[in-house]
Amino acid sequence: MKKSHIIALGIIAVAIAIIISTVGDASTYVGFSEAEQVAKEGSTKSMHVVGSLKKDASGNFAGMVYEPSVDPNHFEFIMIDSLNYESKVVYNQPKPTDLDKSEKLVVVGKMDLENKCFKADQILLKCPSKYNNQNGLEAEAPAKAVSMK
Amino acid sequence: MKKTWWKILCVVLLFYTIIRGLIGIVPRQPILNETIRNVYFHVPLWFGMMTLMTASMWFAIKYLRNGNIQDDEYSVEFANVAIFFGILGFMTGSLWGQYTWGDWLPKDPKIIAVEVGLLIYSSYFILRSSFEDEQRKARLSAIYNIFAFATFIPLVWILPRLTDSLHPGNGGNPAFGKYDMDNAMRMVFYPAVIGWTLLGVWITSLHIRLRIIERVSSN
Repeated sequence: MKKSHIIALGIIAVAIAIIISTVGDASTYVGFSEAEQVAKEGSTKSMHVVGSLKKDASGNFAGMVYEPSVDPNHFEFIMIDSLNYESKVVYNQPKPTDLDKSEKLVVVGKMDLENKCFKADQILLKCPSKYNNQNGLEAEAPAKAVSMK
Repeated sequence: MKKTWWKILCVVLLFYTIIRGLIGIVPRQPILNETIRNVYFHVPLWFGMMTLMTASMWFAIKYLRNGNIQDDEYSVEFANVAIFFGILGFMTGSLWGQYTWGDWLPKDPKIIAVEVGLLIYSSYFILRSSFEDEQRKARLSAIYNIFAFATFIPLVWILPRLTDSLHPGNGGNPAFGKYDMDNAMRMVFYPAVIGWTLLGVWITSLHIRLRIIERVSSN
């Protein structure tokens, strides 16, 4: 084996090690309680939390605040994680389009213990996984028209 | 004619995929919107890659059994084109992710797994180029090929399912029904899978022929 090949193989091994170590701390999905635990330990690394938006009995989103006229870069909502813990999420950027229609979302950020909320740096939207029209926009359209009245 | 029918089929299917895929009717879905058409390109590229990788491992085993250098040539070229398809699948996926999830490369378990998998395969090519002796090179790389395939399958297809993922159908235990498409989409999706796979085999066959010509002419 030539020296350059050993170096190249070494670089790949290091790259794999780096990628795997990022899996180990940041990328695995956690719940809010675990994110809080991590924040209490004083760690500032960002966590990925999967969850869905909280809805109240009438189907509206509970606790969602977005008033572009007041502050276009402040958006907050309540998210329920996969273990049924809920938390307020604050996102200091404009509200992502189509967020209301997302089945599930991933918030990336950390727990803010002082304000008792989750400070998100990024919001990722999970796409619908049924590729047919049953739950699509067309099925939704009539319901919207009723609510307009 | 005997040997060209599948090439004609490949061209026809891919033209059909591109035309029907871009102008055909697709379900209207929030967030996805028109990007849903990428399912005809992104997903079949991965399917094609898996077929090519399996073929590559098959010829690696065959080489180890009989020591025929031609099997090694088949194996390396299948791996070559498989990785090319993998990179294309990665790129189409990244583009798709930006316009739906909202990030080019989120730290998603499946994406990370595929990055590692492709890196493992890329060291296969470095390993190959580091040996001078033909038989030794072929034998060691055939063994590595089997190892790479055996790590790729659990890494990319099993582990991401055990955790949550942005990819549809992960974080659960779905069958093929995860692509819950309507019939109009299936009519494009299945031909697309066959078409892209055939294209991969076609490219590979040309590479193999070139390689054999080079070997014969250098002797």
